[in-house]
Amino acid sequence: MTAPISENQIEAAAVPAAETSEQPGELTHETTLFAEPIGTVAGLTVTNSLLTSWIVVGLIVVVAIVSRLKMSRIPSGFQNYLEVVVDKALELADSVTGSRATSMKFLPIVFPLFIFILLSNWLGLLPGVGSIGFIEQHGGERLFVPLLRGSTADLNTTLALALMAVIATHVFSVVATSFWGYLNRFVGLNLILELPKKVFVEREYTALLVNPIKFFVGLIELVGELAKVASLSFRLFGNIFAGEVLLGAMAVIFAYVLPIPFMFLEIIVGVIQALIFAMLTLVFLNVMTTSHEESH
Amino acid sequence: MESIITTFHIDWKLIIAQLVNFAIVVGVLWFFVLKPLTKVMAERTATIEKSLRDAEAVKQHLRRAEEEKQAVIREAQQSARQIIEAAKVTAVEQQKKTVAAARQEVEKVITEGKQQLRREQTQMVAEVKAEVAEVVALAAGKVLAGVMTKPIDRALAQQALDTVTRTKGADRVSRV
Repeated sequence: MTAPISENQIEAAAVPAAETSEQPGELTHETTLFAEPIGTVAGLTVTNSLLTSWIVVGLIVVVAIVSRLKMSRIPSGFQNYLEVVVDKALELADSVTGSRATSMKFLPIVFPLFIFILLSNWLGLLPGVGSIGFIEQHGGERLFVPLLRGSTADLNTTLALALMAVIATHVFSVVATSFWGYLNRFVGLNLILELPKKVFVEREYTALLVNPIKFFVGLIELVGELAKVASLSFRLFGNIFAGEVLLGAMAVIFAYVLPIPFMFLEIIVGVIQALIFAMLTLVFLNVMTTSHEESH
Repeated sequence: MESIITTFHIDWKLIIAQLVNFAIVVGVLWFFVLKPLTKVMAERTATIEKSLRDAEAVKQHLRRAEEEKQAVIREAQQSARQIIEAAKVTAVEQQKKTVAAARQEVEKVITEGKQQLRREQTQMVAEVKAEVAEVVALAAGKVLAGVMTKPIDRALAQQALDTVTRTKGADRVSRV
């Protein structure tokens, strides 16, 4: 991690992304897999992706408060668009949950996820993000550090979002199916406890084979929960980071016109990835809040 | 795992910072957008549904009122026809009664006229009788002053009087 940036270190610069130079003493800009630190605030290392996240959060807060102030029973202007988005989001959620009441329970988690990821994805495409920054002296080399970076192009962000989403599914599962039901989904204590009754009372000898299999399936599901976090976070990070690399590469090949189709592609990718993340979270929430027997 | 953390510079502090960011987004979007917006939308939906129900009720009410109006009009028309028919019947009866009364009155007047005539005739005959008797008596007295005796004179007078009475009375009756 780097030290706080001093005034003389900061120098506004506009450098094409992914521009690299191997010659010593020359300005170097490499597209890194990680977000570059740009300073510290109260002991917290602030990366360019974190700064972008704060901008996204600020943007959402301002728009939300303004929308709330102008909200009325007879919609006008921005409220119309907002209502259409929320209505369509609810309709989409209904197609997964099958019930408006359930959709309304999950909406406070899924809708902000979609909006936050979408804005983060799109903000990374804006001119200046990744190309405006400062030059830092690092071991005799002059490194260009962008001030902003698409926040979903940082694994810390996507990992945080994925962790939050999966933890939320578990919390909802405990609330919806009780802690005992939640525990048996993974550990299968009820399968072990009911085994003597099934064998000696009900004479179901197949339980001797089936219940241990179910028990191990539960353990596999536990591993699956970790896989959920990994898949959600790496999918989003990989797509957005790849998009940024692609745009940088196109800009290096020919800076004018050529990146435009890819910009449109990335706009679509931004929507799709936000939608995939939100929909998968919704599906996980739906599966985890139904009882284990029902979900099978 | 260690290589992933190193390669991607995974920092738990940054993860927590991003979690806080997202928590703020969740809170702000829920309290400032989703909660009031879904409430407003639900209220509007309820209002629209109520308005539609009310409109349907008003429509039904209007239809019933129209049906009632038509029924009242039909009833009034029927009553009017009945009243006209009854009036016609009454008028015809009244006309008959009036004609009958008039006829009766005419007959009465005629009868009274006849009676009056008869009375006048009787009176006239009596007067004529008296005058003729007087005249005959005078004439006979003058003619037969010396010949006739008193009983003959009276008998002749009476005979003449009867003859006159029959003749004059028949004429008068035939004239009337």
